[in-house]
Amino acid sequence: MTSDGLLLLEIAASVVLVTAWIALVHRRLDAQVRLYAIQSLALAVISGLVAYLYSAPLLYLTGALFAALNGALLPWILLTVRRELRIPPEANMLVSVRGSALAGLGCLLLAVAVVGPLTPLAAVPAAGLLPISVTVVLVGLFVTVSRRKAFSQVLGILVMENGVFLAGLALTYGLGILLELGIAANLLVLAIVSRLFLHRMKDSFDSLDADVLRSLEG
Amino acid sequence: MTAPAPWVQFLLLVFELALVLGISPMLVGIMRRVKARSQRRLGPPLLQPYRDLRKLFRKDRIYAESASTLTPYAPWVSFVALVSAVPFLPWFFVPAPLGFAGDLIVVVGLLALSRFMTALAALDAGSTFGGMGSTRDMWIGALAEPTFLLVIFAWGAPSGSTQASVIVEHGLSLGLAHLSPALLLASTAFGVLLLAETGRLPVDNPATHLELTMVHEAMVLEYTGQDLAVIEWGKGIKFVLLAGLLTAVLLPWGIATALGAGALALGVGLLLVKLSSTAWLVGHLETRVAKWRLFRVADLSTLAVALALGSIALTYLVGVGS
Repeated sequence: MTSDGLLLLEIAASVVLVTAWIALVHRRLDAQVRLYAIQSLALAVISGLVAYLYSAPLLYLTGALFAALNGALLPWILLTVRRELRIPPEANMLVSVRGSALAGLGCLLLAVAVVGPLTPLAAVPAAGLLPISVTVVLVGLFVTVSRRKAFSQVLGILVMENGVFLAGLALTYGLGILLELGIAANLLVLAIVSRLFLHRMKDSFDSLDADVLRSLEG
Repeated sequence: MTAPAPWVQFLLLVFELALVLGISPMLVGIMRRVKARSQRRLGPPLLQPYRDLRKLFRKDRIYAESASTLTPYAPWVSFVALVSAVPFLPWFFVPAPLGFAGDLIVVVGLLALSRFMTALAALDAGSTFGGMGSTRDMWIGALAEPTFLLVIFAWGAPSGSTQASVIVEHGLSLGLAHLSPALLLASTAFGVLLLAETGRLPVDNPATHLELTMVHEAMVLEYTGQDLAVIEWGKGIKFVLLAGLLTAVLLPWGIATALGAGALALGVGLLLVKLSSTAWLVGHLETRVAKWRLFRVADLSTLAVALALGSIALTYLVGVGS
């Protein structure tokens, strides 16, 4: 039973990696949000699989919460915010698409080089999980720093969080249900706060370009 | 895996050629049909490409006055190059009939030869469109070929071979564990490549004759009759080649490794299913995307290169692919 389960685990992990990578190079904000939703659903599947393979029933709950919050609610909030604030559909990228694709490769190589030696220590024996999770964290970080719009930066942080969640699953069969709940609640707060913040920003500056915040410097 | 007797190999080769030549217009028909249906149009019948070919084969060949002796031969050389790539690939039986003579790099070479002849012939008559089409196509080719080679290396890394048959046999021996993250990354890269190489939508619109955007159509504007027929047919065969390679490596199940009526029938049946579902997917994708500006094609190919390199890194540094 375990080999098929591990296989599914690897496939789901690949989906997480590929969606992160495509979100990194995609110009359309809506498509990025949808990719994020797919990624979260894949993570929920991974969570369920780990629960099944290592008989950790609480992880079923984590997976279900993750699917509901990160897979459905957060993307919905983000898509509505984009429509309400009439944010232009194209991402404003500081790094070209080509540069971003290569940066994604750089993230992968860095993650593999740094985390590769630790792989035998990981609790879940699917070898790729740990480097993939660190790659996703780095890709999220890159999305956060390479986009102008506050909207994309929020998205980058969410992708980073997905990476952290995957790393938690790979290392410890999940971080423990309380911690997960805490993170999920934090994320929701983040989404709501960012929504208010984006509204305020739009009102004050007529723009969602994070660079205009520099004008606040004394 | 012992190779069957030479005469069996020969029979297989003939059958594979007949199969690929026979179904390639069908797949073009499926793609057009799916595209039309998802746009709420009725679309041409599935057999329309066969009728088009029959019509074109009955027509005469006419050439521009300024064309040299190259023009009449180029489409046929291009066509033969594509057809001769067929026996190097695993279709429904491994080892491939000509697998002993060359690996996937030969296939890349044959595709390059076909592209080169088409581009040369487009320049021959001296029309503006031909020149535009050929420079665009060679540029796309210059981006696609390195990607193709990288994907081959990424696919071949776990088995240590660039032979399509060895890659497929290795995949079959692993069972389901064959679907590793490295393989999926490389296959995603190949999917991008497939669209670029066969001139499908984000890269080239197969249904347009708008002079500003056409790539492949601009190159073949000078041709008519039997020449145009082999060009169109060759385009379908190229799609079958690449789709067949992708499905054989990604989902090798069903490909026979030993001779037997049941195994071969299953192999052929599954091959048809795999090819037509690829055509179906491409047709749907074409409805969902618009043609990209030419210079953004480089973005696509950079993504494919990065994915392929990532796949190689995963295989060698983590051992995920093996």
